[in-house]
Amino acid sequence: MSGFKVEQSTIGDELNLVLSGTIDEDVQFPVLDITTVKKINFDLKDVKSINSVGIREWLNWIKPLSEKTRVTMKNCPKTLVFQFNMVEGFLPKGSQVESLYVPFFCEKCDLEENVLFHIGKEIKVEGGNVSVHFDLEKIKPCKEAACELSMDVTEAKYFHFLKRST
Amino acid sequence: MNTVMSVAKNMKAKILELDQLPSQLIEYGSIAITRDFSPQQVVKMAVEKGAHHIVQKACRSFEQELLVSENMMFRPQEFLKDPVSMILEHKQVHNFRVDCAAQEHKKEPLEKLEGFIRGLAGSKGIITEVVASTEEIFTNASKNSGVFYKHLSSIGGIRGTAPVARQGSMSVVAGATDDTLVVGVIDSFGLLDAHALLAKVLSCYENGVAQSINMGTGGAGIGTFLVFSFAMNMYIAVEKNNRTAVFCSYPLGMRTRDFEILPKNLHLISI
Repeated sequence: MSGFKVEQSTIGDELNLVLSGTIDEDVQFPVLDITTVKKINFDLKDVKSINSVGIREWLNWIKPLSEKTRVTMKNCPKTLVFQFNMVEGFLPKGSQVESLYVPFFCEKCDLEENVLFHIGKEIKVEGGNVSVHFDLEKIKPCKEAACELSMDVTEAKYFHFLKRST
Repeated sequence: MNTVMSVAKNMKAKILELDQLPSQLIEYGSIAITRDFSPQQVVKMAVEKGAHHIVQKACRSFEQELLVSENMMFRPQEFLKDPVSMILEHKQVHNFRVDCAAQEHKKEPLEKLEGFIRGLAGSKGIITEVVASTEEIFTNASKNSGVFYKHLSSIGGIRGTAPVARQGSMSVVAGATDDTLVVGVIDSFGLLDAHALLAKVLSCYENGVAQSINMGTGGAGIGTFLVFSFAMNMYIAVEKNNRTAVFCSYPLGMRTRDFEILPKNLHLISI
């Protein structure tokens, strides 16, 4: 089902991994030699979805990697943010999320827009508190006057993992 | 007369209004009515107290859910034949069905389902999650055919023990009104042990998903935990050795943040 792919590149002692496709029972994560790697940077933008077997496979793959090196994740889609919050260890201890997609929805236009928010920019995490700041007019792709696009997550729930990881 | 009594006055089912988990088992033929139990409490009531129908007053379609309970209990064959019509009271204006052999890969039926959902007004915010949920249900059902996707045979899912592929069929079925989408899978095996499955889901709530995997209870339980976590209502019907129908309903045109706080209903029948 998946057509899952991992593109690898190395810059200095950092390994960049760009993941795409579906993480399911067909997934084959690469075996990585990280003896000289100080940091792994995941780009998760094109991960389409993950199922229950994929969650198990991910946990088995990511845990030993994160125990040996630092891990950062960027462009995290909402399907993975759900798992960050729901599955302990899905986001390994000590790993850092740089950016994530936040769903916005307008009932009138039936429009969903996933907007990339950056930690430290739109999302501030201070002393275990998470606050979100953005200019809706800059985000809005729809120019309809009646458009009521707004953030479609319960903030306390969607950003909860950030409290844990600080 | 309160709402519960006015709806229930012509029903055969016994109505039990509960504000907490009862100390005794709930007898078959009853509908447990609660106000706004958490998803974990709903599953716990089914697993530990034997409740087959849990309907919550604060849900979006309380009266309709009471009637679904009654119909599932007293007209189970009709439910198994056409779950979507019974859940939506024959009011659906969009229908979808793909039949396939149990050994077929899930890719094509799920892609067709995604196309169907994409065409429904008010579905944009839930497409990925609904398709992912249906994939979990499909995968669970296909295990009964003896078809094991690559890594599944080592997981030891509660139903995945058939070593030889069985002949059978599966159908991905969906229907929608203007405000509700119902999607599920019917298989021709009837081997689901719903109680054991929900016990695994309860373990996910109580011990966490990662811990449940570590305890070797992965597979169907975690998938169904994910399904129930996202759905508005869940309906499980088993005709032993003949048919299983697992369906969920989802709101259309509603913000995810509004519907994720709606109390969930759960229905189970086994004949």
